[in-house]
Amino acid sequence: MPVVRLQSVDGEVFPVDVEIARMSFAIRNMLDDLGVQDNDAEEVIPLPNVTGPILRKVIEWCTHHKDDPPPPEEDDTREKRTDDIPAWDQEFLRVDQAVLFDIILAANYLDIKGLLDVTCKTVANMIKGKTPEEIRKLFNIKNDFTPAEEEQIRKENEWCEEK
Amino acid sequence: MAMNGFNNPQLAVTQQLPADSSGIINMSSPSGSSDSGSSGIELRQTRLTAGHGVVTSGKNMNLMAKVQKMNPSKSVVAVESLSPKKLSSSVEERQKTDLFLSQFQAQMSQMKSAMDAVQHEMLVHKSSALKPVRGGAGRGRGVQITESRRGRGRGRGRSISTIPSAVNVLAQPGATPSSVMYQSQISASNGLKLKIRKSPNHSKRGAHLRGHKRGKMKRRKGDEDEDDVSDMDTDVHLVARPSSSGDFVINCENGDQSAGTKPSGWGDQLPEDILIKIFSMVVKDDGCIPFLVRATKVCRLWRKVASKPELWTSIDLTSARIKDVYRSERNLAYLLEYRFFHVRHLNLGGWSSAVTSATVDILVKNCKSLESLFVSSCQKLTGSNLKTITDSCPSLQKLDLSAISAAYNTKSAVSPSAIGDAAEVLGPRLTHLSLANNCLPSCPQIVYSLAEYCPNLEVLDLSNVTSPRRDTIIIRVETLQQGCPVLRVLRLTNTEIALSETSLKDQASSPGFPKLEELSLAVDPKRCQGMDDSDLERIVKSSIKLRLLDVRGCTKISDSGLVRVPAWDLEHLYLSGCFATKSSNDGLELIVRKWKHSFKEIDFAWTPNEDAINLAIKALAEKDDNDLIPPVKKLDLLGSSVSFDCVKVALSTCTYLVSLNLTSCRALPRGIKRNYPTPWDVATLREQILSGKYDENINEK
Repeated sequence: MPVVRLQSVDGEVFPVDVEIARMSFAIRNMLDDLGVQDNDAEEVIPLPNVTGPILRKVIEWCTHHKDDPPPPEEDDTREKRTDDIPAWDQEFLRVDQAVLFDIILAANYLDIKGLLDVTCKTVANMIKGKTPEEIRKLFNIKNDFTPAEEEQIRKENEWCEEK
Repeated sequence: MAMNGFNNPQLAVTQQLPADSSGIINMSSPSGSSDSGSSGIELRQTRLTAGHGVVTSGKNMNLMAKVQKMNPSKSVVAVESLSPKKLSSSVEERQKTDLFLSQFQAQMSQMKSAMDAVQHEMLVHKSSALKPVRGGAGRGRGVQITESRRGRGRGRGRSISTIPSAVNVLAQPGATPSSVMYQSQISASNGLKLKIRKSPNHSKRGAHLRGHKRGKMKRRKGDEDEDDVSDMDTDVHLVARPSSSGDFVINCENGDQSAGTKPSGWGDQLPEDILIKIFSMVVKDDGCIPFLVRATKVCRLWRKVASKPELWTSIDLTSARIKDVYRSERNLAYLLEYRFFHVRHLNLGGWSSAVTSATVDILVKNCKSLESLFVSSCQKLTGSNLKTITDSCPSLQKLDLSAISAAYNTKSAVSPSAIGDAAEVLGPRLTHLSLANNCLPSCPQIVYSLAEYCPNLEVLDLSNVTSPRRDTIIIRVETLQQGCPVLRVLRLTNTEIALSETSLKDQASSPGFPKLEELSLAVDPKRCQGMDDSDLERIVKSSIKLRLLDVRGCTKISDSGLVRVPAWDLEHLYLSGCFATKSSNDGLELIVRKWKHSFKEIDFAWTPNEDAINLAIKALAEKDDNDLIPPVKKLDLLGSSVSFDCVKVALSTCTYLVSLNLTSCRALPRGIKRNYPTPWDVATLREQILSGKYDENINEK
């Protein structure tokens, strides 16, 4: 099996099967553009937006899902239920919110649709039914509204009160 | 459902699945259930060639059962694929959990009796809406309100007033505010419920305790489900677990690191399109309200994204969290103008003072993609408003005009001419129409204009409709059958409707309703007798797909009429008070045998004859050659003469049962005559009965 070498921003190099690497549309395009030969094992592809630990995580996911059928085309009629996350993915994504955040960004940057879908679903499940305060706490989000803005938001939304 | 998780994991999983997969969900997610259901029916349609309208013989039963096998086996596969992963993942943890669980279960059972009453009440309120509507009653439950309104301090009177559930298999999204009647049911009849209701602290404490325990347990088990929304779980999500690549785990166990540490990127660095993707997933599951409003308050980025109109597509403003004060014209105008211009499904039920000519004008100007509009109880809506709406919304398909007019009013949106015009304009586009809880002069004329203009009508709700002179509405159903051949749902609950005299030739040439899935003919037997066997036959003559039949209170519908219903796979059958329950022969048993393979919910309440009910229950619980578990989930035996042995057999065989009502069953021993509304209750009762707990009470009664 031919191998490509992916280099994270912190210099870590991961040898990855081409087929697995090609699950990322970004890498696929890069390989196609570069015209990298199968036996060109010395070629290193730098990924300036992904750190080593995250890249390892992403590769782990891709390796596990390498035989999945291609994701169906996006369309409105398809049920996008969030409760159908496979058990392996649930376990895989049981990570700190900061890591989850980085995985989402990496999946987005590398254009891996399946991983992006499942991570977004996980986040959707986490924020369902939560109050703004709980969401902020859960994801460590800073409340960046000025008092004036807060007041305006309160007014705009007073028709839909909490409790 | 949540309570179920406390049992040992295997049990919990097996019970949880079937319950989740349809029965209960039916009420809340109608579209999904309807889809899966109909596909099931189609599947069988191709396989079964046995004629309909004939009592299925034992042989045919087996055939049906074999085909039916597909469904149960499917869910078994699901169980297997789910549980081993979860269970084997941490055997040690599970042992700990088991120990903890056994202690905990003991505590729980004490708390249980209080909790379930509260839960039931909650369940009951969930489907009911904001405030009672004068003279109105909701679809499927109309019988009850009339009973309780008459009051007369009947106590636990022998009326059919305490029949729970009026499940609309294909209910439209969002209960209309008019389906309120449980309010009066609770206050009227059952002492137990009243008592619980008076001590809200108790229930609160229970809920709190429950949440607390759950949180604890989850931490031990390792946070199995993401779906829980209680505060206590917040920290669970934040606990970073050592993962396979362990080196980057950050521990923030208290979930309290916001002070001092650097804020994460969730609030400002997340690309908008990802946030839109996440939000649209939540909206798809939970609706826009309150989620998008909450997201607006998180931070600037989230506010920006949550305000994007493309997320606001399906809006249910009937939510109880919107106080009446805010249901004003001004607020609605603001929302329509700034948020809702991509809305496709809008439910304004109960915004009675807000839906006026002015807001209707704003609505039609801004919301061009409107597909369904629910304006239940919006009494200010006039015929000309309705005309504006139908003229200016090119995609409109579904209209709920229930509870708009309680008295005859020529200007109202539900006047015959207004509805007639709407039917003509919408024509083939119209798929859903609810006129429930209205006073409709010339109702037959309305029905005929629907038949004339709306060939694609799928849902027609005429429940609780009265005529100005309170006389019987006479309809020629064959006209409707010819004009609306794809009708799936017909609700005539508690409406005095009779079928006109029609020649046999006309009856024979009518196509019937071949797609009908839900039919409700329930009436209040004190007001009218309802339809008879031949009327039923005229309506369902070709309805092989019928899944729900409600004939409560129809004193002229007998077991022989019911058994002739041509449906292949009837799932929900409500019989209390109809003549079939009073017959002394084996009619009920024949009914059970015909649809045993498909029944999910049966209401046999107030069946007085011991032999009839016992034979029926025994037939239901009987295993066939293939050892299939009967799919029945809900069984209502309220006030019937069912025997203890039969209950025992039913409980041991029907393991999918999630709800059982044994209130006022006089042949049962002391201590078990009550309602068991949740899977947890049923499981507990099953355990107790099968371990022989009540055996000694039998003779005492």
